[in-house]
Amino acid sequence: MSVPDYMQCAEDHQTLLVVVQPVGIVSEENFFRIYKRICSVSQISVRDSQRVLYIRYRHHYPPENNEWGDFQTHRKVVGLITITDCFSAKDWPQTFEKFHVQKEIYGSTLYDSRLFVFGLQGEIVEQPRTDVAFYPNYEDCQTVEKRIEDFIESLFIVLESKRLDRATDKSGDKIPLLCVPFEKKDFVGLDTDSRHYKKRCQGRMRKHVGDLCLQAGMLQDSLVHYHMSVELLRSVNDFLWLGAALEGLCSASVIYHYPGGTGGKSGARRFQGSTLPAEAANRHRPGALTTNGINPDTSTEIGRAKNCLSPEDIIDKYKEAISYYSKYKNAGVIELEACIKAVRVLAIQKRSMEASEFLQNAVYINLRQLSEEEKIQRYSILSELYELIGFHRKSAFFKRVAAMQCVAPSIAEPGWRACYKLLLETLPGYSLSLDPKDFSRGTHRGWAAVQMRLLHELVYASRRMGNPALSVRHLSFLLQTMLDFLSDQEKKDVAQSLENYTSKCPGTMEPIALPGGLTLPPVPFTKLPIVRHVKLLNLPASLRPHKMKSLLGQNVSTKSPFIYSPIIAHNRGEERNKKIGYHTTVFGVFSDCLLDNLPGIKTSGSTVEVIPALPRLQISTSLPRSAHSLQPSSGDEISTNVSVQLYNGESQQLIIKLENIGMEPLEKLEVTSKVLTTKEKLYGDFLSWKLEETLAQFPLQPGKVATFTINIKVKLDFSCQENLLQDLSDDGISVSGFPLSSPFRQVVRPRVEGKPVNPPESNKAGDYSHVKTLEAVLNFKYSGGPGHTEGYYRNLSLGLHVEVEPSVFFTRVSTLPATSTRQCHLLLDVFNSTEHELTVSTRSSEALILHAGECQRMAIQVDKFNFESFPESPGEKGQFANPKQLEEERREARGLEIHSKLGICWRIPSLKRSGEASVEGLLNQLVLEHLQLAPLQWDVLVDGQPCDREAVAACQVGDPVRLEVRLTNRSPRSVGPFALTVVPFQDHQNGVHNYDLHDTVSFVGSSTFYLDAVQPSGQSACLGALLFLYTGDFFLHIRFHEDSTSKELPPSWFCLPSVHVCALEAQA
Amino acid sequence: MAVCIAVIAKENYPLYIRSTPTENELKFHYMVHTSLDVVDEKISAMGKALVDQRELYLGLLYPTEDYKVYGYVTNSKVKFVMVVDSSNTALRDNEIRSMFRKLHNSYTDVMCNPFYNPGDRIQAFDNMVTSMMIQVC
Repeated sequence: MSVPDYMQCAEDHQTLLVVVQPVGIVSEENFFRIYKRICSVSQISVRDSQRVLYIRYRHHYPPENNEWGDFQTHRKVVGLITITDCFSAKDWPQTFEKFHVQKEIYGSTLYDSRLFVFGLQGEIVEQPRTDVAFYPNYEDCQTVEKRIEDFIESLFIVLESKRLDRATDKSGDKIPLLCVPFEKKDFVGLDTDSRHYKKRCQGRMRKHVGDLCLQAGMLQDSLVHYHMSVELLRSVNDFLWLGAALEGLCSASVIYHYPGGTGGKSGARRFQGSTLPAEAANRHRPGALTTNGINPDTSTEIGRAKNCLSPEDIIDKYKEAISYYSKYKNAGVIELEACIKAVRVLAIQKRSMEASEFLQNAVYINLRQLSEEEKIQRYSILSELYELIGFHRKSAFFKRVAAMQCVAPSIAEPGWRACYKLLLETLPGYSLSLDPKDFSRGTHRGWAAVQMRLLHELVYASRRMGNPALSVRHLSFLLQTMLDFLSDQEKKDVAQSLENYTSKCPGTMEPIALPGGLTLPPVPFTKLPIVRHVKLLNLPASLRPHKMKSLLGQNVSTKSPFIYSPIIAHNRGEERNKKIGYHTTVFGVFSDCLLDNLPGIKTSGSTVEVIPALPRLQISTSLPRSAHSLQPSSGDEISTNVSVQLYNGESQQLIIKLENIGMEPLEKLEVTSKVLTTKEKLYGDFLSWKLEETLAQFPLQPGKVATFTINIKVKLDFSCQENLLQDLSDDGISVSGFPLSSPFRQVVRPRVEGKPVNPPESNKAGDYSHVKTLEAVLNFKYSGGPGHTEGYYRNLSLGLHVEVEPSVFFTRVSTLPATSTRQCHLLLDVFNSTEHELTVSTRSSEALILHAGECQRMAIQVDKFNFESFPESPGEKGQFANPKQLEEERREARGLEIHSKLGICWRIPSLKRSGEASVEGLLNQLVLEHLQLAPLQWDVLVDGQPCDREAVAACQVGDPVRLEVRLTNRSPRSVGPFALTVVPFQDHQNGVHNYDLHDTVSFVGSSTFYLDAVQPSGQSACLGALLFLYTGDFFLHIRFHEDSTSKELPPSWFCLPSVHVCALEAQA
Repeated sequence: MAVCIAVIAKENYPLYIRSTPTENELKFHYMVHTSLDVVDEKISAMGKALVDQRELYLGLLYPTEDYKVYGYVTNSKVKFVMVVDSSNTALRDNEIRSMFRKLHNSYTDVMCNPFYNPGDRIQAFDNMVTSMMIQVC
């Protein structure tokens, strides 16, 4: 007997052993289907008594163990069931023969046997046979259980007869000596007639009868027999059998005390009914005694309670039994099994320390050279038993040994899968969880060395299993959790092998489900690299959502009538439960690390508010991008900067492509601009656009593009602050006074005076070529999709950087009266500061060509302006603005008026660029006054004809000429009265004016006229007459009398045209 | 002669473990680790006894072929485990006891160190342990 049954438990002593085996070729599946059904019939209440029979089925049982059947009857195979396939009657005899051969193996001990034939039909089947059952197939065999029950009953009959036979044998003369296989040779030649021998025979037989009683369901009887046997055997020092008798006593007591069983295999296996086991046992006894008529003298003497061992005694007796067994090397299996049985009992008694002693003893029992498979089984069972008594660490230790045994080098085909499975089972014993979350609380506290070893073994086993993903996961786990315990060299090795593994199978963040139901959670590398500090950064400005202020108020009011509502708070909490983390790839392992799990960081909770989706706008422009960043003071974060270079006065279109690169439709767009503060004075609109055309393309679906055009117009000051004043020397032209005669009167077209730039100017060149910079920010506020309904928008900023190069300068400006009082000459000294040839033109004149760096004077005849007729600047604005600002505005308005009238343009033909030039910035008060139409409008009429400009009035000598001076008052106040004197003179065209004309011109009436006061917008006239006595050209100079009233008014208001009269010979 | 000395925290993780044949350190780790099963069992059995009557020395935890494992538990449930060579028969129970007492005193000294965080691995223990490992052999 060399094959131990590690699953044995004390209650197996009361079972009958039945072997179920296939004969011939039966598929495993079919065999185990039937085997399972057979096994279900494991206990039977015998028909005419209340006893219960227990059956233990085995499909494999070594015949050599069967030889120990006399020693312990539960080791004896008493029943054989064979299962076979047989499809034709022809095969039948052969099959039947095989059944007989099979019977021979256990022949000596068999009480009965059965053959189940599947597939056979026909004549043979018709014959009723007790030992053979025929079934057409494996499905159609409902009577299997019934057959088994019948079979067991037949076994019971044999058992019962044997029991009675042996029990009464005692009275007979000769009792045979029962012995175990290895004893047989010892008894050769022994004196069979000695008392000693007889006692031995009696003791052994008693023990045997005890076994049979136990099997036959007569517990109390068996106890009595065992007690008697112990007494007999102790007296003859038959230790092996004494041990067996003691063990029988233990078994029966265990069965009595622990009806639930000690093997934990089948819970309440004994009684299906609700009757208590002890009662039931008691109830049996009297019946057993009467019906079976056992020799009563033995049982009546010993009290029932005394017969059964107490739980403590059971262990003592087990100890004793085992100590006897241990005397016999050949009884190793018996000893081992007894140890296991005792351990199971102790486990139920919760006496772990003693159990561990039994187990320790079992460990040291050396059976023989075990096969590798047996070793694995042995270690696994030891592990299970240690687990049973609560020694989890020891259990894990043996399980690990078993795992290592699975892949021992001596095994031809190492069972890596089994090894891995066993290793996983050891994890709880080493308090090792494979969830990295359990390691996030501070430094790891555990058996690092042992745990690391286990992890290494898991890695290796999973790799050999051919599951690289698994080994990567284990290795990642090892590196992450045991980092503090690894030496530098180990760290290096682990990292290296991890890299090797991941090159074939990268580590993921997916949980790995194992067949055993265990799930390996992902292992994020939160320690590699070490994160020291975490700070939330806001989104780039262009993606940052903004809340529309007006909508916010609405939302709150519509969501709930209460200021604080717990429901709203709850909703927000849910939204805020999202975790924040980062993503890494280390040694080929992808990790999603949550900030909460970082060991070194105590985040007091960073909150990210997530709002509904908004569209995303991307803009691209026709202009090149600029590396310039705007002034830092601008405050906004600019995502894109574009730059353009323009000449002063030039304008350009900026075409912006708006692309919706988001997932939501773009519904709303608002554009605003902000010109960054600059020292430069800007004239006109710098940026102007029409949004309507763009909005017509909305809503903009994802992926669609809309265009948007912005006009850029730069108009800076064209004056050059006093730098060039000395450039064109004064021609002696006075801008003031009353040029009654002028040397330039005939100059009506722009006068060209080519003058090369003065050499000393070169050192001032820097001033003209100075590039000025204008910067502006365009803000695109846009929204759409669900974010829009929630009241959010995004803001995208485009920085615009404009470099303004000077084009032309007006170095000097002056006016010259024109012949008409309603007109005026504007003299402009134009300087070309570009490096190209440039033409300057006005609305009314042809182009003036200027070479690079050239300065020329340009005269433009302009009608005087009636500024007073301009509408006043918007009333409300004016109310709050101070007078200075009002004045400034008025000036600007005038400048604009003049500019639009003049329409001065420049063109650079070589570059094909052109632009405007504005005089707005350089008109000073004096010039403006000259350009202004006086509020007092004077008209002189000669003979009823208005007399102005070049027109020469003709009259006849001797006829009186009517002279009328009219005054129209456009000023807001009343003026006058005025006195005027008409002074005639002759111009000799040589600078001599002859005023002595008393003989040639005579006044009809007074030469002095009077005008009464004129109310605002009133009109007044005074009349007089002249009589020319001689022919000739005469001029009339109308002069005001200097009195107090006229002094208050500016002299330009009294600008009267001079009258040119040509007196002709009177016609006949 | 002690071949391995270990100090185990209340929560059953090692605070200190050192063995003399350093080449097979892991073996002693396993040995001490599995001995904790017995320590636990003994402590739970002892739990019923009064605190002041409690014996700190747990005696032989279990013998293996080559070694004997002894245990000792302080009132704060810190365990000391000592592995001795079973061939050294000269070692009596009383000597083992006194060694444990010495170990307990040293441990108390360590705990008195204001720079030591209870629960951390013990660093400053080597001198005493080395003397204990050599002294007896």
